[in-house]
Amino acid sequence: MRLHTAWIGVCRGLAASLFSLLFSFAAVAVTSTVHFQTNLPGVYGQPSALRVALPIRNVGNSPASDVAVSFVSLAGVGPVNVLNPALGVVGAGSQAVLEVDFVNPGAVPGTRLLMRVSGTYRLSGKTYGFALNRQIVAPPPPDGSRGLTAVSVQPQFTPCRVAPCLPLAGGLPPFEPAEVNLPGPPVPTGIFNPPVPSFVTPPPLPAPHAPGPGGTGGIFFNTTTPNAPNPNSLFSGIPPDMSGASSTVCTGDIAIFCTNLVLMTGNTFLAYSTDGGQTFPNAQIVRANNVYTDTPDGGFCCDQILQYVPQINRYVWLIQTRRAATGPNRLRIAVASPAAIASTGALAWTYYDLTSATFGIGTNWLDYPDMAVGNNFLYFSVDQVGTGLIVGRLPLADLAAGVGTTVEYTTPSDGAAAYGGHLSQNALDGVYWAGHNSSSNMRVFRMPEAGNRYFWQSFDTPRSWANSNFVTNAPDGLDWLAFGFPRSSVLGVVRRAGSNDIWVAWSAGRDGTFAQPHIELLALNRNADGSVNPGGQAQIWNASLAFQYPSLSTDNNGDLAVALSWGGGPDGRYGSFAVGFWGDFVVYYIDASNLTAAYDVADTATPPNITNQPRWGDYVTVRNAANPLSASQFTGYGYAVKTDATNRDGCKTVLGTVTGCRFEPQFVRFEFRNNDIGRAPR
Amino acid sequence: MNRSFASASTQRVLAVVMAGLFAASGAQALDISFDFSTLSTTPGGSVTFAGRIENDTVYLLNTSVDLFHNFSSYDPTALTPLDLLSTQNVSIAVGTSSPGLLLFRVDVAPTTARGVYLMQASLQDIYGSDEFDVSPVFDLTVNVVPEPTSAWLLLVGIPLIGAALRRGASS
Repeated sequence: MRLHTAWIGVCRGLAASLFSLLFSFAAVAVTSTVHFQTNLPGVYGQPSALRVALPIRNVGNSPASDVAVSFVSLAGVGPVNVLNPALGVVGAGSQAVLEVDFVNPGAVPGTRLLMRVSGTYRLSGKTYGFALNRQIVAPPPPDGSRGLTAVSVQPQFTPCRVAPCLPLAGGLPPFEPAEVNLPGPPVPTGIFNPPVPSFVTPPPLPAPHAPGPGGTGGIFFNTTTPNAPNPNSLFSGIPPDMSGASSTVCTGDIAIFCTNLVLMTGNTFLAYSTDGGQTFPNAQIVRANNVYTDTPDGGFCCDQILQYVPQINRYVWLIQTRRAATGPNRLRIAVASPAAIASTGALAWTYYDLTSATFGIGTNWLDYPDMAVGNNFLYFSVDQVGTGLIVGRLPLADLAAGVGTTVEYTTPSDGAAAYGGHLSQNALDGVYWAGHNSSSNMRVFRMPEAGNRYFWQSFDTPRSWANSNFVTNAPDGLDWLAFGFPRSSVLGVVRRAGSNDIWVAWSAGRDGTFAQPHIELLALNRNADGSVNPGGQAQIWNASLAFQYPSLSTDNNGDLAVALSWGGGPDGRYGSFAVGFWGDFVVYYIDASNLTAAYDVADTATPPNITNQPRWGDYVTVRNAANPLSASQFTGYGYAVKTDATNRDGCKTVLGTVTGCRFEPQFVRFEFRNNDIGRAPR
Repeated sequence: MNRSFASASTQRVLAVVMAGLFAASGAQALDISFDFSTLSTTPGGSVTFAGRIENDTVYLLNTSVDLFHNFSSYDPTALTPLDLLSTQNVSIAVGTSSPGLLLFRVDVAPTTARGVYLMQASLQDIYGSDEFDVSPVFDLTVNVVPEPTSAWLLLVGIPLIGAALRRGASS
């Protein structure tokens, strides 16, 4: 009997051993996987709680269903309130945003706190576990100020100084299959204040292609140029990032050429027109490699911005470089007079390099810049990737003189909430910029020209807005807003002198009130000290199509010119560009797109881009035309995407379907002629 | 439940595991050289995966504030992973590998049946998202082995079987 028991034990031992060996050798290759990683979190510091919006991305090849969070902690403190523990289905390549409140975390601004998240998901009928970790940076206080940091920068000069010049044989810049942008942090959900919709903006109307009025109101189109410049002569990457500026004042020697100068940029080109934007000949397209002899960092990249500065009669051209292999990159800010641009073919510039080192951010990099013009300063902004928006300034007098100068800039971590934001146009005696603490709380920054400090304040917006669900399909079934950057960053900012207010605009998603992604606008009334109070809130919206990517400008009459993108939804339109005036509740398009651009599946970029990724943007631009003959004249810079079987580069490869396409840069000059009859400012 | 989970897990890579290698590959900015990709413990025990982190990002990275792990594809009733990087204060210069680190611990529930339990892990730094500053996804294995009493029986039993077989053959 005793022996029998021993044999049972022996058999059990053998079985365990064989069991283990069996499972060890019987495995086969992976077929379906789910793996989660986290993206940059949004953090909202409330008086008694820290709200974190953590993007959880499925980098596996299969959708995870029933994703549920069962445990969350932050640096071991609590209590914790998980707002949406059931995340549902997270598709392959998609993300869900987990929102959590940590009550009284007592975190010192700027400190890093380890957030732990764990839970389960289902895949192929089985339940699996996941556990994620992410360092959270405690946000700055809701209100505050800080001194600017100052650094000296020296001018440099292009080889071309005076006409005549020939373009440098730099060749084309490297192919830009898809411009790199990391997703920005999501906006945490705030207190729900029911939205009150503005008048509906109907589907856009076609702008006349010959000089003439629009369909309603006082809008008049002076110039509408669909192919500006010739789209077959360039490719600017996905997306093209359209900017521009124009001038009608010239103090140079050849005034005949600079009277009607227009400059336009996409990611990889600068084109200029000497006939007011009617034509942008191929011979008047230059690329950075034609202008500069060096190849800074990883080479010239993208995200170009143009401004014309009437006070000094100079154009300012900003181009961003790719990251060097060691990490850093730069903004190259170049200055030239209209006369020099016209006479040298935009080849003679005085420029200043603002590098990662300039801002003391080591090997980190700079992305998604903007510029604005004040009374005495040129302002610029740029994201320190993964941290926050830097805003700086350069004295206009030094730029005009082409001498060494001092750049003053903000601390990047202070601008976390303004990540991806743009600057107030018509900055006057101080620039403003803004971001979202939550979907019902805004953070507004200001940098007065007087003094060397910047300030920020936080306040509840009158109405909350939809910070999620930006899905809107074009007729080809592609969600043209699928790319998550810059999403709801405050892109439209403008200051109106007469009414002493600032208007901000951003892209919002869908909710029970707004069936399609739309644009939110908010007026901010200025106080004597420059601080602001929220005023009226409005929307550019339509239940059947989406409006996104706002850009704002103004004139001395207080008109608010708007550039934006539109498309998708039941109206069945492709993502396209349009302009108009706020208050008309109608916008006009130059030429609509007929497909959605997506990354090329064959791209060989390093690191590899997401394949089959539809993308629009990342910005369009409206500027005051700086035309003394018509103060209410504006210029718009956008694009359409057109089918073109001869040009496959960078265009669409979706689910095995290869369709060539091209970008059609668009220029439009428009104005408000009702000003003549003394109408009230908008 | 646990055994069926282990059975389902056999759809995953394991020939590689047996060779002590990893399924994930490719030149990514972050990488881990595990000392062992398969570790064993008993129910109620724990294992600690150790190794070296290779920093080919452009950032000086500190384990306590810049780096963290993600885990997936494991049986949540059996395994509980716990990142250990935040408990260490090791800086890893650009282009270098760390010294040996305790990367993460995996606790095994006391009720876990013996068997092979798979999981996946990756490493991220605070600067990165998506394709940037993340490691490959590694396939790892936790062998849950019999309790010591069972192991003793196994050790004793195998010789006894051998003896019995020899006796049978000789008779």
